[in-house]
Amino acid sequence: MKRSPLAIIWLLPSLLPFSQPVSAEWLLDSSIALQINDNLPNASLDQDIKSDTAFDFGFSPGFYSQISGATSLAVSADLGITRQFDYKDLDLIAIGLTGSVRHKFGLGNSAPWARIAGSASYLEYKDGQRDGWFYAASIEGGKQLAEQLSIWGGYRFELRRAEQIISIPALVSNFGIGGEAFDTAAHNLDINAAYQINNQLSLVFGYVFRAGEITATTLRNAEIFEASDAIAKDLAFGPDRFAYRIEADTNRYSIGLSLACNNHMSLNATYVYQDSDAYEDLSYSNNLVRVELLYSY
Amino acid sequence: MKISVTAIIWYALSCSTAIKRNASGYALLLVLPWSPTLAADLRASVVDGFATPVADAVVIAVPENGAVIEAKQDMATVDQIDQQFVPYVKAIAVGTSVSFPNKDDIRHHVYSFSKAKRFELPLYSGVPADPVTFEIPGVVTLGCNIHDWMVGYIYVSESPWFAVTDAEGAAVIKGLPEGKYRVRTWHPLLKVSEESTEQSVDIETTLPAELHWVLSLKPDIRPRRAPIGGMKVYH
Ligand SMILES: [Cu+2]
Repeated sequence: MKRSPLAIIWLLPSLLPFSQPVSAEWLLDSSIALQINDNLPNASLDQDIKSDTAFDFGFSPGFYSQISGATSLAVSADLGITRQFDYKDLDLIAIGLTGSVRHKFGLGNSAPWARIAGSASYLEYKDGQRDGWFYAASIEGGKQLAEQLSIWGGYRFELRRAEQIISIPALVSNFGIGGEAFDTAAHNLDINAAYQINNQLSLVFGYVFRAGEITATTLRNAEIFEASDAIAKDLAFGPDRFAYRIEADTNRYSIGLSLACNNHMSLNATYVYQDSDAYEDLSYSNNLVRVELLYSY
Repeated sequence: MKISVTAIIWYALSCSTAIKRNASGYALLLVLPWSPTLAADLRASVVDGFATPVADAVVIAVPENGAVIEAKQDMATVDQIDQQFVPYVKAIAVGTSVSFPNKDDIRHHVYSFSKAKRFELPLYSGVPADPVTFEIPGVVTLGCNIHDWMVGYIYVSESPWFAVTDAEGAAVIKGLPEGKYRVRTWHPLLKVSEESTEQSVDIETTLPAELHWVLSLKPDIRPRRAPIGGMKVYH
């Protein structure tokens, strides 16, 4: 019998080394969202740019344990389902685990805090070529600067590894370029601020600098291929398309409005502009809009 | 002012016990102009600048002749229910001990940085072993170090004559003995000083006295508990 990866939820209590005698409590983060991306393939050339909207569902039950007055531990199982409106091959089911330790340096709302987190997820796309593992490790810190203003930021390392590599034999033999277009690694530095306008509304600003590999998709293009270090066929965006991996520096700016519906639920609207600079004048930009209903308990 | 003969004799007899010191050393001398039979309720109503009733306003009546009243060594309770302090504002007389029962099935870590009382009840569930005694008049702001959205207030009154307004903005100080009082109000969002809200009232009959306040309040912004969303960007 094949056991569902979600069965790991039932093992979570035993993963909490402090669950005895320190009590653990359930937690749940869930979300339903609509996300528009005006450049889903992260393309550089107009002919390659495709926009799409996706329906996105997230469900992360877990355990939270306050080890001491200052330190807490959280473990969650994460389920994510994405359904694209047009580019169905990018439909995704992600199943993973996240663990984090949070420490508060002192007493009170304005005491600074730090958090170390790690996660591992298995990504299963409709397009089997994209299937694989996604790992993230982060260290972040934050502080409430004023009664209505909080800032936080940190460093995050992301690693994606495809389960199978399908290379194009001619590219391997002639140029030594393999098919690892979906194996990426990146370093991220981010800083965020949230301003609480009133008891319902909060304004959220974010900036991320990302240095690392991105996967983009293009029609056959010699110039782009030359700048890439991995290329694979990519039928997700149509025939004669190729996914390629390239080093890029990305600046990501976001602004969001969060409306608290009650203590546990909020409606969020976020706009992101991101701009990636790769080889020479090869650059990419995305506009993303996400409308999201969040429920946390 | 009429002072009955019986009252004079009664007062003389009780003088020896009426002069006391409470735990913190405040002199507690009862020298109210006295007629034990004459007392009246003080009905207070509080609204904001938009005529909306103001809940959680503390109304405090202090005898005008400077008389200090014997503090009651009372017990009071501030609960933690659904990760909130209940009540949001609790008024007590100086010298009162307060218990902080945690009625949630998770633990809380209650603290105060306030001048009137600094204390910390490290991570606990159930009822803490020792109550906290409040010996200095003033406002004590309560927080929980685990749940930043938990905020509550304890108003420690130098006078035993106080009440807290309900959702209709109404409060009743019951059985205020005959005499003149300076009556003021305090609220967590009060824009002006507490002293500037002072009014006078003279309890001369057993008919209820009435006082009304229109308070200028700061916006009620409490630490947020609802989640904040972000972007999911898959590369
Ligand atoms: Cu708490």
